[in-house]
Parts: sequence; structure tokens; C-alpha cells
Amino acid sequence: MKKNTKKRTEGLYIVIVGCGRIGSIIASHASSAGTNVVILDKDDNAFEALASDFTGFTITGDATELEYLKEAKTDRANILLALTAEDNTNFMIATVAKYYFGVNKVVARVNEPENEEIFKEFGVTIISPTMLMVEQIKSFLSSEGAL
Amino acid sequence: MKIVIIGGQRIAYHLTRSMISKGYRVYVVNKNASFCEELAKRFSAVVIHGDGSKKKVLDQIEFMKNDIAVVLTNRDKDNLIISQMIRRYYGVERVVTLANDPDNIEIFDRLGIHVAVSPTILLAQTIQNLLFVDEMLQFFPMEEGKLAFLRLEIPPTSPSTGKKLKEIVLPEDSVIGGIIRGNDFLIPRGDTSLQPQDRVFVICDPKVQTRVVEALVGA
Repeated sequence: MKKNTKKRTEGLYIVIVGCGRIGSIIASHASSAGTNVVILDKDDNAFEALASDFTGFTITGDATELEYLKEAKTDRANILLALTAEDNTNFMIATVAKYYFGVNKVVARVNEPENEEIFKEFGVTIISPTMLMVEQIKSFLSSEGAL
Repeated sequence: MKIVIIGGQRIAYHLTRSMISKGYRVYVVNKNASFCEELAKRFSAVVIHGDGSKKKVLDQIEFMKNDIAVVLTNRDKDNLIISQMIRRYYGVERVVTLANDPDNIEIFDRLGIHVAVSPTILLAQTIQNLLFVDEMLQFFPMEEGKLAFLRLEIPPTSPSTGKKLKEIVLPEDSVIGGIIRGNDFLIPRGDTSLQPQDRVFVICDPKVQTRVVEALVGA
């Protein structure tokens, strides 16, 4: 099943930090698409949110402590996603992944729009839940003629 | 030029006092309201109550390029983002940052941040000193613990007393760099023989330091 997808992503290795609502869904999807996934979270219970067919690895630990990113073999990752709820945590994980482990593509969740600039300064691709929501709501409002 | 101290409690307090007494202009940023009140009461520092990892808060400081920033919160991830913001947003180059976790010294270094040694490391070194035998007068780990520098006094009971250096079997990753005998400093040669009360300086891999001590001081 899903042979095409599998071929395309064969050998791709992604590290995801934060197994909350967003992280767990992304990890489950990437895993079922055949990507090698390692997901980290401080809280052991967080991994219960993963899909039952998740075949990646889970690591319980604070990813701002170097040993856990080492354990996740971050130096071999093609992509790292820093998706915790805390911007400062994501900034540290993202810049460590990029400049210490040499990960090529680093994406971070940035909650506070004011923080986007510092992430961009360091070449981290940002995803802003706040701005995504704002855009969605704005497009709804404009479709209703309120904007 | 001003000195900006962000985060921290006791260190921030004593640093503020010390810098003010030396005549510097000191700005303090701290999340802890009662700490801010206390500082504002005691010292003529500019005290800003707020989260130093927020740009809005940092903007209030009106940084100049020649300012010195000292970042002392107890969370390394906060220290990292604060330091990078100060460097990038305001072009401040003299930023000293506390690494609470010794593992982060190397990381901060790699990310271009000047690191202040963490209290954890200082304590660990002191404890290590206490754990070693009395004859080992001093022990300095250097280069993040990749290298140890030992200063040993040779007791009369040492298995090496009276032996020439070339006869003493030392671990491979170690070298005797100098000997103090009385008031004289000797550059060690293979023919130099060790005498009681010699103070011997050894550079070695920390992993072999106990074997060095055994060889020169005795078990």
C-alpha cells in the first residue's frame, strides 16, 4: 500500500519535538507515509496521542538538554520540527539543530508573532499558529463581508 | 556605556551592587516583582520588571552598541534567546551568558555566545578537588574537562621516590611538564630523579588522572 509515497520518502528521517496535538498528528501522518520519525516529548503520556499504526521511535526527555537530541540522532535528520508550545524552547531546539547538529531544514512553531523576527534571523522556517488562525478568521470575516 | 543585567537572583543582586559601587550605570531586568522592588529600593539602578525574552521589554532598555549585557536566568533556553536578541536586534557584542547546564557551554560557544561558567561546573570541580587524595594539591580541569592539570607533591612513601623519570611508568595520555624542588623550577628530563617534597606538574587526560596519582604519589 501507498507504494508511491513510500518510494518518494524512502530514507527521509525527521525529528519532531513536542508530541502535543500538532506534533502527534504530524508524526502519525509522516510515519504512515513511510518516513522515519523520531518524536520527543518531556511527558511520557503525550505519546498516547500517536496513531496506533505509528512505527517511529519515541523519546521521553527535555529536548533542550543536549543528550536527548543526540539520542534522537539529530545529526542524521533531514528535517527537524520544533513544535512545543513554548517559543523559547523552540528557538533553542531549532538553533541547536541547525548550527550544532547541522540539520538542513529546521521548522519551528512560533506562538508570539513578535518572536518571528529572531527565528528568521537565524534561518529557521517559522509556522505561526497565531497568524494562521488570524488569516483563517480574516478570510471567513471577509467572505461574510465584515472585512 | 551601561551594564544590563537580565534575570538571576543572588548573582544579579551582588553584581548590581558591585557594578554600581564601581560607578557604572546599571540596568536590571527581572521577572520577579519583589526582587525588582528590593533592588530599586537599595540601589540607584534602573529596574525594569518584565520578561527579558520579550522584545517589548528589551526595547525599553534602549541598548547602545557598546553596552555590556549579562544574561543570568536559570533557564538556558531563555538565556539563549535573550542573548541572541540582544546581539541581533541592537548590535551589542559584549554579551555574557550563564550556562546553567554544563552541556550547553559547547553549544552556546558554537552559537557565538560568550559563556560564563555555570555554578554547577564550579561546584562540581570543587567537589572533585575534595574527593582526591590530600597529596594532590590542585586539580584544574581545562577545555571543558578534556584536559586535566595536576599539581602533586611527592611523599617519601611514593613508589616513584628516587626513581628517574624514564623508569617511572606513566599512563600514555600524560606528561610531566615541570618540577618544583625547593625554590628551583626544573624542566624534567628522562634522567631527572624524583625526590620527596618535589612538586610535580602533570598534564593529562582526565580519564587517567587517578593512575597518574597512583604512579607518582602511591595508592
